[in-house]
Amino acid sequence: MKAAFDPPLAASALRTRAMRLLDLADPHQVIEWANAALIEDPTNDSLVALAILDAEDGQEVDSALDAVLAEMGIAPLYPNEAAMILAKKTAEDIIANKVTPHDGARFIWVKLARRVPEVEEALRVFIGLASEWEEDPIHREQYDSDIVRASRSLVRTM
Amino acid sequence: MTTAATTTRPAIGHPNSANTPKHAFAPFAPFGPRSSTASNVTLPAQRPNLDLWPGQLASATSPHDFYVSVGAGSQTAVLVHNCGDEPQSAQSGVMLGRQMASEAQMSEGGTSIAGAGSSAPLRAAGQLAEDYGGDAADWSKMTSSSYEGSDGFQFETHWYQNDQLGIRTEFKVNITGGM
Repeated sequence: MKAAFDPPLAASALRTRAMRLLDLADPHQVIEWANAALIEDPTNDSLVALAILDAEDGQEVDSALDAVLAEMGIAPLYPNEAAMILAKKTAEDIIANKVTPHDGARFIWVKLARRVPEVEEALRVFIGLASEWEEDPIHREQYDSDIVRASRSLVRTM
Repeated sequence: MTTAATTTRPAIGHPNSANTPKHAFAPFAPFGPRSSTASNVTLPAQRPNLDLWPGQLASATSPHDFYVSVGAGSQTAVLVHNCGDEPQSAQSGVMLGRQMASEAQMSEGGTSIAGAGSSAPLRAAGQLAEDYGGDAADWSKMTSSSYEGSDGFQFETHWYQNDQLGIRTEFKVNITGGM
């Protein structure tokens, strides 16, 4: 077992588990992730065990992914934690212009806030901004800016 | 894959609005009469890998926006947003469930998501005050709870509201899953 893990790899593992927990990734994608992660860390035994699994067995894949996280010292995720991890990542991607403000806000609305009621209040601003972006074409540029501002605020508070 | 956008917010449901349908509305179903396309909607793609935003994004291409009735004899228009075609036959039971859920959503108190009572701005508030009256600061956009049918079809209703005037208007159904 390694004593320390590459922080980006740990963050990536956490996001992968979060996506799996919220049904935003299928077992095949998890195994693809594990194979890609092995390039970064080829000596990680739990990653190897995950990468060679049959993707047909989702439970086995999830257990193996949990083992990867456990080896990194990361506790199992709850859905609210998973949703906020992905919301933060989406907000970062909005700020970095990797996704349009509306696409990101709608993802947070539909895929995170509506799926995990515990985080709905914290993410509600994105629901309103995405909804109005769609309904009020005259003010879309302003709503784009509002979404970026809300993203910065979310990232700052997490 | 995107759809065209209109240039103005239609004042649906306003009795004096030219955009308010005067005909009998279609039943709650995605095969109702198409009247307009209100927005340009792009959705995140099915991810081929675990990057949240891998390159090209897929989007909702199906023509959308349908005016539907709230109930028999109702003159309240509901704009169904982002909705595609489905076979009309064998859908009536599902549609009835959706219609009942839609009506239930419209009777909810709702939660503010923009404008008054929210941290999100409502930039159409001035126009709403002009169209319906009251102060712009008193207008808010509300959301219902989200409904998910046994088939995974998911939607919620949004509308504008002014508590000072007791007005709830421009109901719009947003399809959020199961397409």
